[in-house]
Amino acid sequence: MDRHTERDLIERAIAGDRAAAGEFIQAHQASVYAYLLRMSGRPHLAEDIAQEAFVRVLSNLDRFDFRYRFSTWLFTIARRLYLNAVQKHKPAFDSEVVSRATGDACMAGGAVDDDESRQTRRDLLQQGLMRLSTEQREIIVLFHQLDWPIALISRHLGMPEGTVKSHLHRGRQKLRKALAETPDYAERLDLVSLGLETHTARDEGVPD
Amino acid sequence: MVAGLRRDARALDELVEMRRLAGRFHEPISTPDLTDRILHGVEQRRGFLSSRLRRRVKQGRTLVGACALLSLFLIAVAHRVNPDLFRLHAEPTPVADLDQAVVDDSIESKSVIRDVVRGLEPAGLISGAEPVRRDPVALPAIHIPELATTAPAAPPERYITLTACADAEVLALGGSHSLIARFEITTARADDASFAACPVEWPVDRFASLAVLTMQIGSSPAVSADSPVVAAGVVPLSVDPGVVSAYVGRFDPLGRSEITVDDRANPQPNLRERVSSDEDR
Repeated sequence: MDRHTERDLIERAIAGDRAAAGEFIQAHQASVYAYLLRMSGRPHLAEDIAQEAFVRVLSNLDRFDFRYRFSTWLFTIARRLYLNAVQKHKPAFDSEVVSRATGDACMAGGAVDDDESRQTRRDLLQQGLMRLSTEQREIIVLFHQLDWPIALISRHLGMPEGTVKSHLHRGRQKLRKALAETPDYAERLDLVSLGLETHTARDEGVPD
Repeated sequence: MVAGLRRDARALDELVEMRRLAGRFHEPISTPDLTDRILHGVEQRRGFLSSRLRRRVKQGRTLVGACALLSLFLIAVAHRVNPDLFRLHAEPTPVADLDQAVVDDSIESKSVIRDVVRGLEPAGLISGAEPVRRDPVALPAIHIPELATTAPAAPPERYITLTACADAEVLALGGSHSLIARFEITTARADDASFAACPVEWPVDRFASLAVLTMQIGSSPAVSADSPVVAAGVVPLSVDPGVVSAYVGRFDPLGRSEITVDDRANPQPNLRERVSSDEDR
């Protein structure tokens, strides 16, 4: 969605246009949900947080500053809501210790062995992500899942670009290692033809 | 760099593996449609309007704003034309009108007192009646039966002039009312109507201790000889040349009452009979 269209939709939504608000939701809910699902590993929690994030944003559209992108604002609120949820259920132990000990994908802040977690555990990638620290997981999700450039991630998280790159590199290493430790990893991994494209262009960071 | 990677097989494997993992991120994720739930949540917080209703609301707001502006404009014009229109309280009068206001107040006060005085029934002179004491002065009525009321040969230089005043005290005296009025000693004024109405002029030097006079006052124009009328102003001690009564007293604000009677019938003109108040008796 280009800026002009986005602005037009925002102004219509501020004026009370229900259809414009619906268009916003349709345009962004997939990426927000994917982000929250990757972060939490729990579909129901991702739904709840995504819903609350949209409601808050659409209820306060009149405060939106048109100098920024709507998606950035939306993800900022979604991130805060997720961190609040994590904080609320944070256990007294380190999640990385737990994940190393159990070998299970668990949400930072405590695992719940319910149906949704079992389904997610089947997803190798999600399993590997849950072994990362929150910062590493978030940066990897923003970079690989949402295709955000380094500069935008840096602004979004309030981190220097060098730190973002460092977390990205270490997160990737850890993710590979975590996946390699999975027993059936080698069988499940698709072998695709070699390609040598790198992420250099995005690593340089193109401001949004 | 690419050439370097081709030589380093391990690094190449790692890169390939990472690209595969990155590709997994872009696999579609089944996303639930949260649109209705979100819109419901927003509606609960702030609500949506249909486009028609939005237009109506906008038009209404514009109309209200225009009416408010028009009202202010009309008020400004009306105030310009008639400044008193929206005045909530009376404009304070300037000091320049003060003297006129004092005169007006004086005239009104005099008319009020005149009305009070007129309301008193004219009564005849009282003789031999017991006074009714009212604070703080008690004035017994003393009749001086015979007193020559010879007009002085020359016009007196000073006269006693009685004026009605707001703090006049009404005494019940022998069945009638007497008004204690303020007095002053003035020079004669030939054009004073009240002065001309009095048949007798009493020079003040005949009353050494005169301080307060009581008089019976009736200002009705149609009076008979039985109901003498004494106008406020120059007051004779008798309204009837043949019968003279004198009520002379001194009003002491401290409470003492002293009454001095000048008995003109007495051949000794300087004789004074001091009559004390009821309490002193």
